[in-house]
Amino acid sequence: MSSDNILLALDLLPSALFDTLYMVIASSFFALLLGLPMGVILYVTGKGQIKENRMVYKTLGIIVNIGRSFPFAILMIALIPVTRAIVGTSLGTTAAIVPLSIAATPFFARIVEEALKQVDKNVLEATQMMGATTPQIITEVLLKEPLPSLISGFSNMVINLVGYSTMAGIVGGGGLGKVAIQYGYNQFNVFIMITTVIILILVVESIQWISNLCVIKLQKKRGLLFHE
Amino acid sequence: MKPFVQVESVYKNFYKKSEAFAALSNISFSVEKGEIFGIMGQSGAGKSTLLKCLSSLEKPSSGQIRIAGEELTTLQGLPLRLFRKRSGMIFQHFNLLSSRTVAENIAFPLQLAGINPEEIQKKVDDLLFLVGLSHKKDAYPSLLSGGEKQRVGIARALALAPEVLFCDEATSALDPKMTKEILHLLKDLNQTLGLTIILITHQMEVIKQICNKVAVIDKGEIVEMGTVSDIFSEPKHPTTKHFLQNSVHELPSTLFKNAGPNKQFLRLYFKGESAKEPIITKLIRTYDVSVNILLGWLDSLQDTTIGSLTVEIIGDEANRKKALSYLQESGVRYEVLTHEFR
Repeated sequence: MSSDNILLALDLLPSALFDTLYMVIASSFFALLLGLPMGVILYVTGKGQIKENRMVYKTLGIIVNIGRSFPFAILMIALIPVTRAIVGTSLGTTAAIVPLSIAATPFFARIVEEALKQVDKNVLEATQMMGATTPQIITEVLLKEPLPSLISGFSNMVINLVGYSTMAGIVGGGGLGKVAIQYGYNQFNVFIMITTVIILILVVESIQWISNLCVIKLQKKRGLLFHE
Repeated sequence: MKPFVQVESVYKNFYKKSEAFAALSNISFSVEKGEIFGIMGQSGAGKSTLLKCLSSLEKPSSGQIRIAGEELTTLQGLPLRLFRKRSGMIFQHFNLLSSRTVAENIAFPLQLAGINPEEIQKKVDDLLFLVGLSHKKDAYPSLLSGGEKQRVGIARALALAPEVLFCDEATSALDPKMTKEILHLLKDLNQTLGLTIILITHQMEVIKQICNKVAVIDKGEIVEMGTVSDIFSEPKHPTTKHFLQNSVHELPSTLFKNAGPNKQFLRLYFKGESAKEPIITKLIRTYDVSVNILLGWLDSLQDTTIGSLTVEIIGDEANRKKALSYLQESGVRYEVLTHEFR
């Protein structure tokens, strides 16, 4: 290990970390914005649910499954025209946010659907008996009762996005993944590669830690978890 | 005046792979305002389906249900939601929201109805006091006992001042002491608020302690219906008898093996005043028969006493006949027991 390497790392890694966080946070935000309603629609239109609708459920289900079966690298290339239409260019860190968001949305939609399935059907019935409208049932019961599962599912998706974001280099995006490939893999710089991987591990660990903290706090508040 | 609840020839079919299964057939009854009406049946008898139809959660396949002037079978959208706001419901497993505190759970129907926060606060405090849970206001449901959870359920059901309360096996998940407390509370609410209560249960206890009228349901049909004291003092249908026997002891079957030609097993039913008369003494003194008492029980309903006595009556046929006609004259209902039906 030489001081050159350390200087190089100090030069490259802060901005690479910033790029990674930028991509992950922005695409998580968009995936939440698109995936949450999609998941709710999947749930309420499902068999035996409050707004059962085979057509809507099947159509949306197929779209979600297609989105989830694309390998991310191929999805990125396939989405180049869409990206260009939205961002103006298909190259760079900001451009990578489009395929990242689109890859994470169907994944999150399924997570939301699964989390909502945990809500006790009888509680929904009780809420209907109070004369609640469907929007009221969604905002007051469906999105609040399974909040701990929604949070941990969301953090799962964010962690997946950290992984996906390392492939952003393919479309000229920045971030830790690009550094690892360019300096570590192509130039055999073991120090840079290891440092990058360690930073990625720390990023994933912190996301998991924050998520666990929120979930435990929420469960304790609701009396679902007891102190030692 | 029309009765408060009127159910007319309600049928409900479920379809399983295009094969129809009749969950309810030809259900008709009526409930007056302020009554506590019990629907009793074993699991699978159709009582849950019936309650769902009554509470508007399911639509019957055919027939009419009128509650408080509304024809439920045609209600949809806003009118349906308005009807639901006029009725309350409590459940076997309470169905409270785990994400809300006790006070917030009770406030829930009020919030859904768009009532302003100050009024909600006041109403919730009143309701908490009514069910005796003011001290648990900020607790989350998971930390409450079953009885406390049901109290929250009751307070929540009463929040919008309903005209009718539906109880879906409301005490089945509670221990005997809590069951008693909850039943007491329901009876109290019935008397102080004039609340009409329709409940389903498989617990004799519940019917005996609080109901005015009872319908016994079996295989989707009402097999017996009437006032609680009538039904329980003179049960006619096997299902009703089965419910009664479950709460008393049964005769050992070996007894029937030594039944001789001059012996007969009888079960006498008593109700009200007849329960207090010395029938057996008169029987022995007046007719030449001896009576062997095998089994007896006496139970008090809310306002009357009912009971039954199982006896072995020994004597020659002529005397036994006279004895039986005496029983008939004195208004005691009896049935002759055979081995098949004890």
